[in-house]
Order: sequence, then structure tokens, then C-alpha cells
Amino acid sequence: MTRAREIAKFVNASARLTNVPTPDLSNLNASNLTSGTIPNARISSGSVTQHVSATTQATGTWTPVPSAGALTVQSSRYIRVGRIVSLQAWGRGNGETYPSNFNTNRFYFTGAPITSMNTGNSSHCVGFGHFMDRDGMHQLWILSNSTEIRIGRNAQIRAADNNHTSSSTSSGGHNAEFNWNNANANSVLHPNDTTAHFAFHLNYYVDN
Amino acid sequence: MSYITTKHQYSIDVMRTTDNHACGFMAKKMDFEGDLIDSSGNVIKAGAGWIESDYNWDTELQRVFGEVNTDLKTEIENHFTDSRKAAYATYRKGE
Repeated sequence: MTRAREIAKFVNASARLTNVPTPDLSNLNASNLTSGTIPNARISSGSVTQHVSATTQATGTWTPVPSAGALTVQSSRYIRVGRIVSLQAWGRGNGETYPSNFNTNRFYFTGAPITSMNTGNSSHCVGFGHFMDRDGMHQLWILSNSTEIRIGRNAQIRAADNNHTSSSTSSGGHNAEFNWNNANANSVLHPNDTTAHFAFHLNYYVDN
Repeated sequence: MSYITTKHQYSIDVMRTTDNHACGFMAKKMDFEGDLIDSSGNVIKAGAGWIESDYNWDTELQRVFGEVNTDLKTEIENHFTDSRKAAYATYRKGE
């Protein structure tokens, strides 16, 4: 067979190459792919997800519980995406009787739905947020390895784990000295009228 | 109703599977009472400092979940052993 006949086997009537054997790409070096884009249809989902760590996600409701007195929660929700949790709540006091809880003990909330990140140091803050109430905007924070949420005033800021409260039994979060005391919480928890609502928002870190 | 729990060193996270309502509980209630000080800065009544007390799980579960699941209550009580509660109190006092 002449060489021309051999070549003719691979050329059809339209002068296009045909019957060309499938090339063996098993030894193709991927580093030779230096341009262009591989079409999405040519990439399996497993080829992508094998490189992505599983992400824990959760959504639901939670109950903020004050260390003294009680709240009426209008709405509350949490969302967890991976190692970050976001909490929000809206509510008001429920007419708690004072002065039975009208003292200088440190006030705080319990009930964070997922234990905060354990950094190995109990003084570490691993989340921060805000509490808006009739006395203004106050700070929320959570320490390592805990479900307790602290609340305080942006005055006389101290170490995150400091337990200092005002020695005064003055009502109102604006009278707090760093941490709220139970008396400071009175103006939020005692009234139950329509203008005594609060808004709560906290973001914090958690472990896997 | 069923619950999912996740146990930690000093706490337990609880989620109700029917509605994902969730709450984390600490091993022990740890309140703090500071000193009472007059306007001159003098201590007129020394505070008790840390005040430890056990949680009443009937009260806490009712308050958070609106019900007391006996299996859940037992699981919480079993997790929060006396030694775990003592270790938690020591941990908190180290803050």
C-alpha cells in the first residue's frame, strides 16, 4: 500500500480527518494544561467536594434565661454555620417583682444553645454582641467553654472575665460599672409595657 | 419527644429534634456577689464572692423546653457528676 493510500484512510469526502485512533492520554502530564477552562460538565461533584471539609449547619430557636427575674421572649433564633453561631432574640420584661432581686449580684444570661469554643483559658472572650434596651445599647460577650452570656456597659471596661459590678442598687443598665448587676437589670425586667422591649444579638465561636 | 445531646467538659448542649429548639446547660449555677461600697469607697458589706448552687433540672427544663423529659433529665444528671461540678467551680473561680 502506498503512503498516499494510508493517508487517504483518514480523510473523508469532505476532506476532514476521520477514523483517527483515540489518542492515549494516560501519560498526559497535567502541568501541560496551561490555558483554557475545563467545562463544568466534565468535572464530577465528587471531584470538588473531596476538597471541602464538611460544614455543620443548624437552625432553630433558643431561650435566653436571665440569672434573676424572667423575660417574655417574643422571638428568638440561632443559626450555626461551621464554627460560628449567631444568636438573636427580641422580647421584654414580664413584670418581675422587685426589690426581691434588687441586689448587686452580677447579672447574666444562660441558655446559649451551643457551648462556646474552648480555648483552654477561662478568661478568653470568644464572642461579642449588643443588647439594645430602653436604657441604651449595652455589650454582650461570652467566655471560653461556656453557655453563659455576660452583659455590661461600655464604661469602666475591664478584663473580659472580671466580675466587677456597681456597688449601687440603682436601676438601669446605664448605671452599671462594667458588668450589670441585678439592680441594673430592673429597668429591663420589671416593666412589661410596650416600650420596654429589648433586642439581643450575639455572634460567637464554637468547636467542631 | 426526642433530644440530641452533645456533652462538653463543663456543659451539655441539648437540641429537641422536632423543632431544633436548643439550650446549653452549665454544670452548676455560679453567681457572684461583690462588695457593697459607700460613696467614699469604703467597704460597708463584704460580698460573698462566688455563690455556688445546683440547678434544679425540673425547673430549668420546664423553663426552656416547656416540658421535663425524664430520659433527658437523667442524662444531664449523669453527665454532671459531683466531680465534674467541683471541677467546673474551680475552673470558674480561676477566671
